[in-house]
Amino acid sequence: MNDILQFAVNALSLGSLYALFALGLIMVFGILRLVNFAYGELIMVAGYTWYILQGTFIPLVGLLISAVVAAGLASVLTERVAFRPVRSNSMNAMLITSFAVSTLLQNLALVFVSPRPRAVDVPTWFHTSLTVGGLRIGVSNLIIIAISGLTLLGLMLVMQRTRLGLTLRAAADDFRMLQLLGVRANQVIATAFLISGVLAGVAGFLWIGRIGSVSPTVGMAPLLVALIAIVVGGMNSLSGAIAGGFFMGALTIALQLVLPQDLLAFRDAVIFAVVILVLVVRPQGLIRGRFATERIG
Amino acid sequence: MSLLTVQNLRARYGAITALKGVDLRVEEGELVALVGANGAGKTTTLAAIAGSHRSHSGTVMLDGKRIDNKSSPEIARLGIALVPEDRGIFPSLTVDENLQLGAYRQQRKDQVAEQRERIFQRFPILAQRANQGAGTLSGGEQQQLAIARAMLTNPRLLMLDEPSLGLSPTLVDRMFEVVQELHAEGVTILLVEQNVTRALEIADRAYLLTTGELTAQGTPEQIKASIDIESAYLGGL
Repeated sequence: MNDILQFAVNALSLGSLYALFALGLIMVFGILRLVNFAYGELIMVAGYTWYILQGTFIPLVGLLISAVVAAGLASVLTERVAFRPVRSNSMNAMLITSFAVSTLLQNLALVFVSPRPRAVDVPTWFHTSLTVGGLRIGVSNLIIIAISGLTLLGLMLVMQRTRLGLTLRAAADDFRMLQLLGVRANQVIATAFLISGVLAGVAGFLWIGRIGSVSPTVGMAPLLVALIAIVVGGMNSLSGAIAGGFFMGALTIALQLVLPQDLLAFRDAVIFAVVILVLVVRPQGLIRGRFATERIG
Repeated sequence: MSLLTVQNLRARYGAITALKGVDLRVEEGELVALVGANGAGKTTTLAAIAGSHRSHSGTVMLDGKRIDNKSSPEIARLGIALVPEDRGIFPSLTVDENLQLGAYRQQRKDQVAEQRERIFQRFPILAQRANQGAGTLSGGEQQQLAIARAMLTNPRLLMLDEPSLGLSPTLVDRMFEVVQELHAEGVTILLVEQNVTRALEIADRAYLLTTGELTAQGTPEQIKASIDIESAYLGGL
């Protein structure tokens, strides 16, 4: 019983991080049909913001807020200077641009900071654990679950209850029609990039806190996981991205437990094999697309 | 001055020329029908006017001011509403949310509420389904929602692309009634239809489009006559 609870907490913690990463990626994809390969670098920006500002008077919460703001601004800035000018050209131009932005940002970190990982000051209590009724729960897991949960809740409120969220959802449905109703494309797209950056910032800060260091390539792994999570989730809805994120988290933790010691090195290979299997069985992804149901007129 | 003036409108899809220089005008308060066979370029004409078809040339003027270089949101803000052929419903939003997006740019809440009342009187089904997902509506209901949403933008010109497409005969009747009612209330309408007979019954004036060119224009009777001649010699629409 305790093992199951232990597993649940770990899976929930990693899954909620993955879900945030996936949500940030699909936020932009849903509207522009662009997989933003520079997304990982927003996570990196959050990490370096932490690294640069640590040791000053700013408390940990302030560092988190700064990192989130920096990632959000970086996201909006890349949209403004890199993606917007090529938007009307072609899908491929956007995709190539996202690779270019990714490489550029990574190299900036390489040149101006260091190619080697830099440690961030994670408070020691973050890696301690609490014992509740015989169950050992890592403080880091609890904090990750709490912050991710609040972020998810906030995102849902914005998407469901605000005018802004309404236009974002409509844009993901039919962007051309939204513009025919007089809603300006630039505003909607900039907002989507802002939310994407904020999500990358929150999840990135927690992710880097978990690893304990930041490097120019720190965003690569989360980008890959996020991409797989949105594909598994069906690539067309926020709920799909969340489902895909938790699926990937649970799968990773489960394999960590189940696989024998000598096979643990191949954990990622097994994860991808399972993902392929899922897609063979359910090519439409875990969550059915909104256009999958035939309408009867 | 005409409300809408289109001069020498040309449009292409890659190598294919869809419009070879179309001239038309719509006066304030008129119901103008643009009829023609499948593939004649009717939808392209509306898309070009609304700014959602990129590669077009020619002059489009609203109140004598050129709008052909403007983006579709700007054109919509100037008062041209397009109800596209596919109806452009946001399927993952509720009916009510779809309507909210129609009223997106209106500031005065009391006016919006009043307009919604009128819309619900005209389309009672939308009131019943207000909180239902718009993707679950039937074709006829979606068409009503699309028109209602367009009316909430307070358009100076309402462009309807095949409002009767894919509807059952009773619903087709109802749809033409609605168009007539709107016209009677003073709404300026540019109506594209394949259902030529029905469209000509209610229109003030009409244009006949044949493979990208206007082949006839004038009163509905004149268009009917020229269609008769055309079908006699060329084998019909």
